[in-house]
Amino acid sequence: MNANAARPRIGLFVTCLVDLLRPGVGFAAVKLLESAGCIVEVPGGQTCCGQPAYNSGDLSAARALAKQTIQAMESYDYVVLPSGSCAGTLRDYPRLLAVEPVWRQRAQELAERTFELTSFLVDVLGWDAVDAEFPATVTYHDSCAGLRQLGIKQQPRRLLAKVAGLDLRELRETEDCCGFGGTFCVKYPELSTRLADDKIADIEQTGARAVLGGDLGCLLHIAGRLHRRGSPVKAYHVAEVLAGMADQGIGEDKP
Amino acid sequence: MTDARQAILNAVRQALGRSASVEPAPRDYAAQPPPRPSWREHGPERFTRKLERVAGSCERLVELAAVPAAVLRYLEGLGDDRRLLVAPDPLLQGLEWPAALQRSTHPQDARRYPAAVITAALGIAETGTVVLPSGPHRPPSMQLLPDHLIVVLRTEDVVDYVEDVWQRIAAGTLPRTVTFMTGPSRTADIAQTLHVGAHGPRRLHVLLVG
Amino acid sequence: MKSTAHLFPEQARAALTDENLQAALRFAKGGFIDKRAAAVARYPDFETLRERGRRIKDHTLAHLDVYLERFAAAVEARGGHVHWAPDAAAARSILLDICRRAGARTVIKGKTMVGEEIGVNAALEEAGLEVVETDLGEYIIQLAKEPPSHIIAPAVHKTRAQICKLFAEHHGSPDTLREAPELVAEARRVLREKFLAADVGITGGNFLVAETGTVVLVTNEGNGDLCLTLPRVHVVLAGIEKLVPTLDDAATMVRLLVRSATGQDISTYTTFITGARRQDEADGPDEYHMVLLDNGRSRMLGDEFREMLRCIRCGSCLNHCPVYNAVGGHAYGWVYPGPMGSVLTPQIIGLDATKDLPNACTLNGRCQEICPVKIPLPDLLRRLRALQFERGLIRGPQCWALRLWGWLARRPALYHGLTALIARLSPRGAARRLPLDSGWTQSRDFPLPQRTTFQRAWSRQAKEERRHD
Repeated sequence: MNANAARPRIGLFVTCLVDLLRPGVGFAAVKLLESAGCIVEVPGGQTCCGQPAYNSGDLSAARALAKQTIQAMESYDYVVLPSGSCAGTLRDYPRLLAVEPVWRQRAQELAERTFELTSFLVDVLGWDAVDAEFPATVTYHDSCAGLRQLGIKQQPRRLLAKVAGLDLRELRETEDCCGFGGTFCVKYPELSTRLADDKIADIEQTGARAVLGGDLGCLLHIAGRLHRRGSPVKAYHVAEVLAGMADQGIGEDKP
Repeated sequence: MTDARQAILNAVRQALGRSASVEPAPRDYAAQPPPRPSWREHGPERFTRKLERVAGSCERLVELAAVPAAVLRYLEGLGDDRRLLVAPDPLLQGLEWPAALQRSTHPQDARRYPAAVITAALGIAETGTVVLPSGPHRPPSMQLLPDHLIVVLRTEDVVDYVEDVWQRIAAGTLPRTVTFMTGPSRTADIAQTLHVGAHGPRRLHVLLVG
Repeated sequence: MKSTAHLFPEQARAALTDENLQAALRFAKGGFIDKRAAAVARYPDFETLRERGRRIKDHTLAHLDVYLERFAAAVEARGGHVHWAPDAAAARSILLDICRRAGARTVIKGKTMVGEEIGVNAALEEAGLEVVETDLGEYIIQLAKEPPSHIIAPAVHKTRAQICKLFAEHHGSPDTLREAPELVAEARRVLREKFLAADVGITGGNFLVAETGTVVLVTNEGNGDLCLTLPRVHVVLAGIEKLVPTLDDAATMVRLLVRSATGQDISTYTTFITGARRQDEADGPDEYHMVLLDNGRSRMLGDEFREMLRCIRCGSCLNHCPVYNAVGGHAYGWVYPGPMGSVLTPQIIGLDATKDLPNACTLNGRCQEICPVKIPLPDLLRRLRALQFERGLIRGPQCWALRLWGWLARRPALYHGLTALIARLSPRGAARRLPLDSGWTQSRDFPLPQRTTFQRAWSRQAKEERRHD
């Protein structure tokens, strides 16, 4: 039997935000998946999962991007994304394409093999052999889509518990939205900022040096606000910490 | 008025995609009872515990004849006012009331009297609730207007669940109102903190007999 | 009530800087959430109860015509008058007519959101009637001449200091900061007189039971019971979606309602009203009227918003909504605020006048998670956004940016080339300002690209690996 036969082939959907603004998250995801015994490929036909269009009511654009994503990703054993909300969008494709039976079926087959990164490692592979060090007090922000749509809560914590030196202190309100909300954050900046400030007050109360999360959207928003307030708290994607690749915080230009 | 009735019913039927009424499908969800709390203690004990948790009070009496003395004791605990509304209920009217009490059976007096004693048809152990159907024996104003409401409830009338009430008061015999009363009147409308005595009785005292 | 929903952005902004409002909202928020959570945790299987509630409502809605007919027939068989109101104006004129025929001068009201929906107070006052709200929260905001800001806690936006001031103005009581029990006692005294003098009592109805023609009314203060006991005339005002088939079904729905709304196991008063006063009864009203309101509900029954008709008005989605908790109910500009309002309001007063409501939501999904009848509120809001898009109601630079993005994202080669170029040319770190940005950088720095995109770096790396092989 070929040694590779047991190794799942992963199509990494890197997400548009990671691709453009935080490529290190993609490399961290690759490193983690490879450590867990996967073969990782990054198909070039991917761009954005269509979530901004889907959530803004532009269903024809959302459907076109869904089809593009299905075509790019459907040949893999699994599709893994370093984002709960984008994974949630792929899981919603069958509904989005409900009126086109052939596409709906393809979307369904893809959705069943689509996972957010930490949930894939823990729930599907049962892997938690993390080899990383991050000697700091940190806190964790549960992004809403991952938490409620995909049930991601314990998975990142189980992995973070294996990081040497890391001390995780929970937020008081772990289930409160940070106020990112995709286009919400630019349509209603004052509201969005108020929710970020509530989240930041909670983060600062824990005494953490860094806030981690599984969705770059929320993290850009939280980091952007932390930066504007001159806060010393840094923000990282959880994959960066788990892969031992967390040096520069999000939005920092120095390590 | 009938036009409006027809207009609404037609709009509803159109929305449901039909032109005439169709007999509803059976309520398949009703095959089993809903999930409900369970408990080990006896019904009257659970009733008492639940009532006390919502600021009601409860006193156990061995027999009905002990009611007048218990009522008098309750009034003595309040002060010197001895005016008492006694519901025009044969069960209460048949008791021997102490002469010290100035009694009335008139709903009109509910506006002025500080306390009333009425009977409950049933109690509900699930929630610590007294069940008060309206009728000649139980004018609702007596249970709403006085500051102090004393309710006589027999232990054999304590049922387990809300649904059990409708086994004892059949659909065809429903009176104008059936009030489930659980504790004294309360409100949280000022700064979201709980206070008793909003509009109805400030205190609810149940005499549990038997 | 005149809608100001089209002013949501301005109203929300003002709300964020209103210190009294913010103090009141902070005070209320944790309480509602914790009480509900404790009540749900105490219950043996709340999830199954929610599922049963959903099925009861779905079943009823699927046979609403029959259940409405049965309900109306049962009310009439027990001496009640049933009135059918296709819209708000019809409901107002029915109520006015009932009051006129009764020669009424004073009307007392229990809290009814349908009453707010049809603007009953203004209509009756215009006709020269005195209208007095008796739910303490409703009474407070009536004195303040404000609409409710929460569907079960209408005065949740008022601090105790503000209530003291209102009472001092209207009752002539001392203008000092007084404790809540004293305020409750004062309102009791003032309103008791109103109860005793009133000619007509108007209440809502939480559930309408088809098999018996029974109205279920859930309150804690006892004001509802006084409204339906003391005046000569009692009128119930309810939407046609309030039906349930049986009294047992009502028991399930009440269990869901009180736990979700206030975290109680049962409300202090749960009253089942079946028809008019019987001949042998010493008190109770001489006339009993039931007003059934459609006002857009039958339309929702036939379209993609039918699930919204399951709503039992518990207010839990408001309590768990980050946006509601930040700005309160008035910012939404009409009767129903928060997630349920953002779905319902556009259905009742139109998409054009409510453009912001479906968008002022982060789609965090908490409302759906706690809804006692499992209404998929975020999905319904998404559907409204799609309707807005279809009808060209979404305009402005953000819309064009989004379309451009969508166009580009459908051309992967162009997209990857362009993003790589942007990444290469962009400064590093975080920007305090961005070209063409209208929202992000007014309060947040924007984390910039890091010289390369992932795709570009990945394909470079792959090329190198091939060379080394």
